Amino acid sequence: MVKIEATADLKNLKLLTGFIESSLKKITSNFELLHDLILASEEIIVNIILYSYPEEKGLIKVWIFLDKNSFVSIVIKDHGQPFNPLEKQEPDLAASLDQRAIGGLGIFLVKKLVDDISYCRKNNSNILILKKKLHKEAI
Amino acid sequence: MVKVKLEDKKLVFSFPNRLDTAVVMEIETEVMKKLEEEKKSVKTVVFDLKDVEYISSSFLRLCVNVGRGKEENDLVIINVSPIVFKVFKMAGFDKIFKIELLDWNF
Repeated sequence: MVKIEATADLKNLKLLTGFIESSLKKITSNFELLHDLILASEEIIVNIILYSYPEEKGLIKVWIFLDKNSFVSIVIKDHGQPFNPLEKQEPDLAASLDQRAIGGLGIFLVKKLVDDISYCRKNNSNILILKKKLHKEAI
Repeated sequence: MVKVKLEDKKLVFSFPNRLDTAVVMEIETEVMKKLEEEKKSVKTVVFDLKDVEYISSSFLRLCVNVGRGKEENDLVIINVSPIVFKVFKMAGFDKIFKIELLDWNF
């Protein structure tokens, strides 16, 4: 299990996603898996940066671990206002450009990029868990 | 960070390698401003993604904002690598924009 924390600020985005990337590279060589998890993490982290701390910026904490069933879990936590990004309205992809709800695109992508996503609110914190199965690389 | 050139009536933007949210926020104003400046001479806007290896939803939103502002003009996205195309496809953007895959010859 590895962990990183940083203030919820866009200038820390690369620090957080960079850490996630280098950590995941230690357990997989699957480029596409890496890409999907990094992008999913970015979208969640950006949502926290934009919405969780309306006044003073707090911390974002990220844990990464691999369970015995070969699922990678990325746990992203903040102690900001109650905010469940999964409840954001999904964009209407069939709509023309003018009506397209461009707000919910990030979360819409996350749901497609990972195998499982869950949210809970506990001890005044938002906890979001992303899970994706690590497939055995062919040797 | 963004290179721009006007050829014929095409305004071509070339983007950097990694288009995460922080990068897109920095270049967004530059792009919209250039578009506004050149709008009278431009029929097509081209986003050249030949150096791009990563895009986030913020870049998708930039495409929408550019595409949205144009009445007679088009947005064409070219030299798209497979992993970047995957993201456009997930968002259904392959149905609303003309997207050309990277054509490699090696």
